[in-house]
Amino acid sequence: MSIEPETRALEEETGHLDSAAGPPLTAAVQRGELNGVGGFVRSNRALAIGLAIVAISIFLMAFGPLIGTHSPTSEDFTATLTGPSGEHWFGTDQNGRDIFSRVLAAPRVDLYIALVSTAFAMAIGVPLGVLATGTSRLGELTGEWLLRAMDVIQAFPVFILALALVAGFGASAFNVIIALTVLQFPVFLRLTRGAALGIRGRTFVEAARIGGAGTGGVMFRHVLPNSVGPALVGASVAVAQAILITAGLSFVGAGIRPPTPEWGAMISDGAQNLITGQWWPSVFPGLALGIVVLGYALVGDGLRLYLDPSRRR
Amino acid sequence: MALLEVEGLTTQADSPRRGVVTTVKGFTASVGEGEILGIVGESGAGKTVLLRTILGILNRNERVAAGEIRFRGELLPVLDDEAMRPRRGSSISLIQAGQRARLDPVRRIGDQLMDVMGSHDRVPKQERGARAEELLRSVGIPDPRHQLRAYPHELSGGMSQRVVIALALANSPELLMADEPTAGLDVTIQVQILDLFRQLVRDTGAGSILATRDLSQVAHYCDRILVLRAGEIVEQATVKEFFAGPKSEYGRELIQAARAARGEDEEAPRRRRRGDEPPLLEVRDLVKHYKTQRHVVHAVNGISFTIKQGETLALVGESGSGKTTVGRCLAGLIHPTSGQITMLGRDIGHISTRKRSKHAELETHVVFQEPRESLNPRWTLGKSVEEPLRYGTRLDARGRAQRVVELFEQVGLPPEYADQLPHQTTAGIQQRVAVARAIAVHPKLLILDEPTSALDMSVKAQIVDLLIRLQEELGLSYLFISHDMTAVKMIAHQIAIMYLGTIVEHGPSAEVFERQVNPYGRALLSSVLFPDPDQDRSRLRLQGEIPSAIELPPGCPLSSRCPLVQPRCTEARPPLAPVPGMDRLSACFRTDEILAAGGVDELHAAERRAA
Repeated sequence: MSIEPETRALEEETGHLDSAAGPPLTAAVQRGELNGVGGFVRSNRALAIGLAIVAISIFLMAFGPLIGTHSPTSEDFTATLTGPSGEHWFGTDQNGRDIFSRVLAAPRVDLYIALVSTAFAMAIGVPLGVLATGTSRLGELTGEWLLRAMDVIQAFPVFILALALVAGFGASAFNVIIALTVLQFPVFLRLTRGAALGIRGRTFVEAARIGGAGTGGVMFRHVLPNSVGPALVGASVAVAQAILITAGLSFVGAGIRPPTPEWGAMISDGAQNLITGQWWPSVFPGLALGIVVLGYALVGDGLRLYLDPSRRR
Repeated sequence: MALLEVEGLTTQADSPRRGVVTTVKGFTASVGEGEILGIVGESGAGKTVLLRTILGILNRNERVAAGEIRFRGELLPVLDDEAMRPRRGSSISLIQAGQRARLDPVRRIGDQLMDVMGSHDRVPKQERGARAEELLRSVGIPDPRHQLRAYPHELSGGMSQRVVIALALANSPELLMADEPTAGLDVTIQVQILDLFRQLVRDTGAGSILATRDLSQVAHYCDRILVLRAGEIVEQATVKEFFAGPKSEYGRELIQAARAARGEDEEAPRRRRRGDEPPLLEVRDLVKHYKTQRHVVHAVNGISFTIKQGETLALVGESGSGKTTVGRCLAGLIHPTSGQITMLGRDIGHISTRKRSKHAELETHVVFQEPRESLNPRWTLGKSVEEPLRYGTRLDARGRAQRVVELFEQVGLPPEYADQLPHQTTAGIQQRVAVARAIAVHPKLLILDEPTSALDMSVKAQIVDLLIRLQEELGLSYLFISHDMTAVKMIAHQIAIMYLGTIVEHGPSAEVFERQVNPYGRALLSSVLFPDPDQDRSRLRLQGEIPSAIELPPGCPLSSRCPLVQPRCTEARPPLAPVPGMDRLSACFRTDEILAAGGVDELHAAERRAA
C-alpha cells in the first residue's frame, strides 16, 4: 500500500494553514521553499558532493589554463616522463609537459564541448518532444515520424555513430559538438515527450483550449514549461555522457589532437607508457575524468530525487 | 469495558514549511463491540491521522506527543512497528479510500486474500482457500470461485472496493475502521457498500469506526457521532441526539449547511422554473460514439434538451452515463457524431473552441471538478484568469489587468490573490478562480462539470451560492453536470437523469426531487443520502452496476438492472415520452402502471406481494 495519499493529506493541511493567513505570506512561503532546496541539499550528501565537483569543474573550465604550475602546452625535453615530484606534482609526459597543469586545463575543452552540445541537444530535443505529442491528425503523424527517426538514430551504438560523424566531417571541437548534439537530442525528445503526454491530458490544458488558446499557445505556454523537469534531470547525465564520449573520441584519435590538453588524448598518450611502469601520464587524467563524470551523475540523481514527489517520505 | 479506548491522544507532524503541526489534539473516545462510531470532519480535520495512529502506521515525520490507546484494556504499542504488526490486519483492520489503488495490480485477488491470512495465524491453513471464497461471497461478489482468479483491473470500482473490504475482514477483526470507504463511487454503489459495511459489523459483532466528511453517511449508518475540527473534538453524541439538536456551534453549522442542501431551509428557496425566457441552447438527437481500436463506445445515444436563458439544467447520473461527454460536446472540445447543438440559431456542434473565442456570442466556458488540476501550476492565479481575455477580447495588457481585478472581485476574492500560485491556496479559492476565468469573456453558457464534487461541505455551499449569484447578476445559463445531488438540488431549475447515454427522466428540479416516475430516476434519487436519520428511504435498490457502453443491452438500457423489468423491456427501447398529467418526460413502458400504483416503490411492492 502506498503512503502517498496520507502525505498529501498532510500537505493539504499545511497548505490550508498557509492560505488561512492570507497573501502577505507569499514571500515567506517562497523563502521557505528556498530553505527547502537548501535543506534537501544538506540532507543529501551525495548531491552536495556532486554539486561541489560540478562547481569546481566549471571554475576550471573558466580558469583552469591560468592556475596550473606550468604552461599546459610547453614541452621540456630535459624532463620527459619524470614521476610526481615537488616540481611536477603529477609528473611529466613523454614530451616533458606538466601533467598537473594539463589536467586542470582540460575542462576548457572537455567540459566546454559537453555543456555546449548538451545545451544544443536540449534546445532541439525539448521543443520537438512537445511537438511530438501533437493532438491533431497532422501532429500525430509528425510525432510518429519523429519517433521512428529517433529509433534510427538511437539504434546505432553511440560511440560508433560519434566516430563516424567525426570521421566524416573531420576532427575539430565544433564537429565533436555537432556529433554529440545529434547523439543526445533524441534522449531529450523522448524524456520531454513522456512528460508532455501526461501534461497534455491535464485539465488546465483543456481549460486553456476552451479559453481560445490555439495549438501553439497550448504547447508552448502550458505544456512545455510543465514538461521540462525530466529533461533538466537528464541534462546532467547527458553532460557526463558527453564528457566520456569526447574523451573516448580523443582516446582513439578522432577528437581533439595533442598538444591541446584533453583528458581522453592524455590517457591515450600515456597508455603506451603504462607497460614500462610510468603510470602517471594516464592515471591522473583518468581520475579527473572519473571524478567529474561522477559529479554530474550525482547531481542528476539528486535532481531526480528532488523532483520526485514520493521522496518526501 | 469498551473495545477501544483512546485517552488524550495528541499527534504531531513535522511540516517542511510550517515546523511542528499538531494534527490531533487531546482526543478521547471509546468504541464498544458491535457499535459504529462515526467521525465527521472536513479534510485536514485529523480523521486519517487518527485512524492510522490507532493502527500504528505513522509516517516518518509524525509522532504521538501524548495520550494512550487501549485495545481490550491493553495498551497498544502504536510506536513500536514490530509489536503492532501482529495486530494490523488481524484484530484491527482499516478500509481505506481509493479502491483499486489499494490492490496489488499484478496479483490475483485470491492470492491477495491468502497473503493477508498468511501473515497472521488466525485462520488455519487448510481453511484459507474456502475462507477466501466465503469472504468474496459475503461482500456480495457474484461467482466468487471464479473471481478469486481475477486481477484487480478486471473489476469495476465498486467491485474493487468490495475486495478491499474483504481483505480487511479476512482475519475476522475485532475492530474494523473505514476511512471514506466510498470516496469516488457512485451514489447507487455507495449505498450498496455502506449497507454491506453495516451488515458485516452487525453480523460479526466487531466494533467499528467510520470516518467521513459526509454527515449523511453518519446519519444513516452510525450509532454515535464525533465531530472533529482541526484535530479537536467539537462534539460527541448519539446520532439521534445530534441530529435532533447539536450542542456545539460548529455542529449546528454543519447540519445547517447540509440541510440547506436538502432544501429544508427557508433561506434557500426552491428554484422555480423560469417563465418565458427565450431558449438559448437546443440539443437535438445528440449522438457521440468513440471508436477505439477494437470497439465502438456508445457514450451518448440520441438525447435532446433545451436550456433557456438564465436557466440551469442539471444533468445527473452515475459515472459512465455519458453526462460528461455531453458537456464536452457543448463546450466544443469534441464534435458530435450526429445531431445538432444550436445556440442562438447557429449549429455550434462543429465550431471549435478557438473559433468560438472569435465570436463573442458563441462563447462557452467550463468549470471543472478538480480546481487545482484545472489551473496551470506554474502560473499565478491572475495569469490564469487573464488567459481567455487574450484570445477572446481586444483588451490591451492594461485593460486585461483591470478586468482581472474586476473578475476577482466578482467571485469574492481580494485582488492580492492574483499574485499567488495555485498550490499556495485552498481548493475553495482555486475553484473561485476557475469560475472567474470561466466568466472572463462574458459567455452566455457555462458548463459546470462536477464543480462541487471535490470540495468540503462548507466550501461546496459557498461555491454554489457564488454560482447562483453570478447567474442572477449576469443572466448566465448553466449546464450543471453532477452526481452530487445536494448541490443539484440547490442550483437546478430543471433536471435530466441520464443512464447509458440516454435521458430517462426529465422535468422541473423541485418536482423531480419530490417524486420520480421512472424506475431508474427513483432508484438513483432514493440512493442519495440526506443528513437526516429519519429520511424515508426506499427499499428499491438497483442490482449490480452500470453496464459497459461498448455493448448496449438491446431494448431498454436499464433492463439488466431494473426491478420492474418485463419481457418487452428487453426487446425495444422505450421512448422519452410526456407523462400524463405531469410536467415530466420519462422513458419507460410501464409509466401508466406506475402512475396507477401511485409510484415506482408502490408498484414494486405490489409485484413482490403478488409473487
